[in-house]
Amino acid sequence: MKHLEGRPLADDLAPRLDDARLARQWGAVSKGLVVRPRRSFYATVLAPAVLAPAALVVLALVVLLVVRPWHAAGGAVAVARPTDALVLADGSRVTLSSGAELALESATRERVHLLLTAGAIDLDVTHVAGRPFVVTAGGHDVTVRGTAFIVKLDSRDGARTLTVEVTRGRVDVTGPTGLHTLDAGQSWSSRVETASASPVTTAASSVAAASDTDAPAPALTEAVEPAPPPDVEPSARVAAGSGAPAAPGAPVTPVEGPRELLARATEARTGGRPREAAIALDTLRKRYRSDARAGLAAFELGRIRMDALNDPAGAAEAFADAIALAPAAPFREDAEARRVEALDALPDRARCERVRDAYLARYPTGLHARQIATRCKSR
Amino acid sequence: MAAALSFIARRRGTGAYHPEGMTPSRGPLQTRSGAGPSDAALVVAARAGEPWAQEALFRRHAPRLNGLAFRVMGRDDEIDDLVQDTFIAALSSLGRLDKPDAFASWIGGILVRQAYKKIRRRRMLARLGLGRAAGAIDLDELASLGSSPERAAEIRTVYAAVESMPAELRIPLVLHRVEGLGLEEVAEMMDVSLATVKRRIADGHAALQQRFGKDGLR
Repeated sequence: MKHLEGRPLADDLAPRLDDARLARQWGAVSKGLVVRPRRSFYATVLAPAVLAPAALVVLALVVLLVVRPWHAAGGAVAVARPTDALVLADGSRVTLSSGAELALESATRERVHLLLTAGAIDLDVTHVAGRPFVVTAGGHDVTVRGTAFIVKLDSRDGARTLTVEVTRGRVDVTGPTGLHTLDAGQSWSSRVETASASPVTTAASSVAAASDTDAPAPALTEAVEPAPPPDVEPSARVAAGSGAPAAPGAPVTPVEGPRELLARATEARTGGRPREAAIALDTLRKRYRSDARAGLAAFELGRIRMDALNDPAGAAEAFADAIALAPAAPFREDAEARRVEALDALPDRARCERVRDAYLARYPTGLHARQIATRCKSR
Repeated sequence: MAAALSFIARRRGTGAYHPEGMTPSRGPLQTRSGAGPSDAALVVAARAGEPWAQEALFRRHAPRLNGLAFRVMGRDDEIDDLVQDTFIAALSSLGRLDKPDAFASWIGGILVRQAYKKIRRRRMLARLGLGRAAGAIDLDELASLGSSPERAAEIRTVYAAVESMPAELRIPLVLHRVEGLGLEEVAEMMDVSLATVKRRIADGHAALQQRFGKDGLR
């Protein structure tokens, strides 16, 4: 039973698939993911009821037995030598360095909050959706997004320096110096207030919701700088696109990061406001050209311009930009095909033919090859 | 299994599956390299609750999975549910994926197992007189418009036969004969032993020959 023409039959078997169908499917998937929390009895009842108290008991026992001395007054832990890792029920590990002082502010299903007042802790945190894991140190909140990182408070010559090093995942650092998002391999440090510095009051939830400013935040060890005046809000207010804290006295404008722009575009698109979606996507691809999402934004922009705004010239430009921004992206073939489609609606036949031929040369058996081959014919 | 999915994508020329492109070169989010986020990076981000990463995984793999679903189910009207259920199952259990860079093959296996359940359910309902009537498959709509008449005929023949087969025989036969996967690749996708796959495919071929004769299928 050999295949005719030496090709698998699958080559001739494809469903009718278009953007609208994929969009419908994604809509159902995203809805399903939101509704999903239809978890088992064990996950919904037994696990929280049994594991959460058990985790607290284990943590308390380990702290009591391993870490000394115990400062009962502040509920703080101080250690004279490095400890073994404290392992929480969810698998998160906290390792205290010699001289570390750590207080457990809260550890519930809703929130875990540690307060580091001296020394360093090394954390490997398991991500739990909807549960903020926050370490406060030197007046900054370090909000975990499922990651491994080190928080260190150094006291030297009367000055204290807070250092955060991320080895895996991503964290947000918020405090008087603003919001800094650190990815794996990045570290950040800043001089902080005196040892008695109180924790910042920014709620973890608001930290989590704060703008992902794309802040190329502290690429490898930001220079230590004095804390800005106290009237500078610890928020996502940064100089446009630079990720640097706004200069004192300079006009401060909230800047949307790529994630917010993409979310705004999606919301506008699904809400039937394509022009607004196009503006957000255009802003994203132009402002954050080095972001991983820029190419996708340009591609989406092209689709919206073509399908909803009847702007083939703008669409062709956006598709070309998508290809330039992400030449190896999975959507490249689609972008090239859609570019031909857009150019087909414009008067420049020669250009359309060039782009069409380039597509057919690159994807001779591509998904759109048959349809693209019919484009750019003389009218 | 990665090899199986890689093979599928390569043959389609979709560029949707690039095992060699899955090596994260700059950490979780590649940017300027032009490679875009790898599957591994997207999986890590999706696990951390990033909705854009979930959507990016969907956009990257949905076309291929729609094709696979179409060929396994043999009809167009059931693939939306299958693909959606597959992505929901996969994206909500990313924590169980040991190797984030193997997302493509992992989700392909999920789809095949979901399809297995759906086909079994469909047959059971049909037996009880509750499901769609047997033979409702539209053979004329299966092959693409560009298919040669010979290939369209072969497709009609295969699907006319597998439509009446139980899921245990149908799925390995389709993966092997239609998708063109090797026996080991089929075994990996179905999560069964190689011996089981060999036996089921042999049984499937026997059923085909019984129906169409030895020369019924070239």
